Amino acid sequence: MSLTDLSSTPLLYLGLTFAIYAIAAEISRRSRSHPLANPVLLSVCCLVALLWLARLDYEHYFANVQLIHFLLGPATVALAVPLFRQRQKVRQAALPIVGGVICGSAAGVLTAVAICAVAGIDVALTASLSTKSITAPVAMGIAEQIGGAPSLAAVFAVLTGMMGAAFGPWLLTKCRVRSSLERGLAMGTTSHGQGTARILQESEEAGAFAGLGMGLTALGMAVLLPLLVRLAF
Amino acid sequence: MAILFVPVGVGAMSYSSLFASAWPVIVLAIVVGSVATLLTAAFVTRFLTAWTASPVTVVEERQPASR
Repeated sequence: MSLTDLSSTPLLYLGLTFAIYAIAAEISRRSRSHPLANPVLLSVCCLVALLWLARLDYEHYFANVQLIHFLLGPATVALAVPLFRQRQKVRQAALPIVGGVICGSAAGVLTAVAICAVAGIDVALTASLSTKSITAPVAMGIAEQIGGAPSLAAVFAVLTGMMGAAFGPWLLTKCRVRSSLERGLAMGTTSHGQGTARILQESEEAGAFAGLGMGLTALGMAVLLPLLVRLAF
Repeated sequence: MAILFVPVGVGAMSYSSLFASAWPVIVLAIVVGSVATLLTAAFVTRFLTAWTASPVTVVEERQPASR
């Protein structure tokens, strides 16, 4: 197989993505999980630079790494496993969990929409930004319903996830938020799967609450956002 | 699991013109919105946990006296 043949197969792009992520994860480990050394953030920056230098478009890259993207759905569902293990604690803290998720999600959506309104941003971009704290597969569906662009919503969801995973635990520690319930729920509500994956490194209990926060945010927003948009416009 | 978000994240390059024109608003909305969500969720959860916590009254069941 020649190098030209290799460049048209998923093998090259999958290998490249895995290799870059492995290096980024090692950098993150050596920097003791410094916020700026977030593996996803480093990998995305590196891959964007490489694709830009090689003059390859995103569609070509994405078509060849579909396998990684396909696994996102099952992996999100698998986050329910630590949640099931912690079901007793979840049951005990039902009201704080629901209240925290509702207020946190509302604060995020209202802040983003207010900033867009003040800046005079169009409805499509505002709608796409309003779904930024929802897990990417769900955010795409909701964005389509409320007049946003699904692919743009996915990008905003991942950017929010990257930012939350990078700086969220640091900010929570600075604000003296130490309990697993508060840290996990805040991370899951803000930065969905990426935040859950990050906080799962701290403890399984926090990861379970993050998974719950992510799921409840997706569920609540899927019901409330289309209703709010219908009322507003 | 985090690696699964890399392909979608790279998709940001498709919107380079949009990011070039509206990046201050996008960055502000993502940063301020995320901080608002993070801290509101954490502190509302803390408040409600404290609010719902009440002294537990333990009622012991009387065991029938063994003969």
